[in-house]
Amino acid sequence: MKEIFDIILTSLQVSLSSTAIAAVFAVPLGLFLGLSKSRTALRLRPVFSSLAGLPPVLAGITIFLLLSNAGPLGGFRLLYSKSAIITAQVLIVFPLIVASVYPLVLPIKAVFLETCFGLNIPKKKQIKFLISELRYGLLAAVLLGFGRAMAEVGAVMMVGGNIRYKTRVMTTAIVLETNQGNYSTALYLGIALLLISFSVNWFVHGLFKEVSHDPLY
Amino acid sequence: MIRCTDLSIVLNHKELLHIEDISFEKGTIHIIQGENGCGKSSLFRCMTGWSSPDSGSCVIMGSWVYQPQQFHLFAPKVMDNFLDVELAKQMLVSLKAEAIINQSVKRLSGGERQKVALVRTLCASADVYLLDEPTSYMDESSRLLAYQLIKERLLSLGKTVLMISHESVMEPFDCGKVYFFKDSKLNIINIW
Repeated sequence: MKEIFDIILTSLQVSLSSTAIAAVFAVPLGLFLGLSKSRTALRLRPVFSSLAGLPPVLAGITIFLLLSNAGPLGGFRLLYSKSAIITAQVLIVFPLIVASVYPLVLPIKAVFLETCFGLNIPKKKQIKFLISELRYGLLAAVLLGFGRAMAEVGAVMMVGGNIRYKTRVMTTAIVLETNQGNYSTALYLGIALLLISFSVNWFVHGLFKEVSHDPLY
Repeated sequence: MIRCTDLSIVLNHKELLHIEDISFEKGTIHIIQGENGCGKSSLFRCMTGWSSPDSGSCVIMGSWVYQPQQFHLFAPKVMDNFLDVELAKQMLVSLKAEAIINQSVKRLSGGERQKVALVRTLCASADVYLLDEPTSYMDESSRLLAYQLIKERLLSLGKTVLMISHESVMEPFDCGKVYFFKDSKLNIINIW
């Protein structure tokens, strides 16, 4: 039982860390890509949309090659550690959040910017208003990233190594227990994963309560 | 004062408007009228610098505030749109719309949205106010109250107002000019 709690804790630890790190950079980048009229931004939008569907194994092999002893970052000895898992998850979650954030800006962009321009609202305040306006969408984008990080198996297995008491997370443990024929343990872990997923959704539902009571939303 | 010189806006290879030389003197209301798509809103955008004319220039001397025809209201509450909520409340009382101050912006009707936007614009301090169809969704009585508010808050303080409108709006104002766009040109059709 203690091992299962340890696995759940490790899962939450790496997934929350990777989502937080990715969100800190991905949300501002997504807002920038949505607001910017530059050619670079227009070209980057489909790139991030494509990367949102990045095969996790590809992210896994990239991080594996970077962190392996022969790789450029091998000296840090991060392979088969929680840091390696977090890095791989950031690589997977980052484009997903960017690709979910920039489309939120597009429908209100023109009218929003012209209104702010007409009222001479400073840039910083415009960003504050925009974040306030899109807060539910931004939260949903970050939670989407968290869900993706929690559900990740391939890349995590590759760079984490599924080491007992160290880098074993719920998804890799489910795979291992199933392969070993311990279906009941695999099922318990699956139920725990599902419960965490439901808890996150209930939490979000609670935040959206104010909105969902309004029939116009 | 606002001055436009050799101003030309081209749309789809056709000259939408051409203004050789026009000055809008300060301290009065200038009402701009014309058919749909004749370039009224484009003129305001060029005046403020939101978009550039194809040739010529337009200069506003002094500070300005611009309310576009399609505006955004900051969510979630009406009061989130005002820095000075007390002043806004006073103006909403004048428009008989004080009840909407605590409402969600998503629940407002078109006319109510315009009242909020107009009050938000009037709360801002400037020398020149550019209002693009600020009362088009309001009912007749609300429209008259809005004009009264513009008169009290802006014109009586010597501010300059440029307003695009399809309505006959001369009555509430003591003096002003009406311009009409025809064949890409802006002509004065009424001075009172």
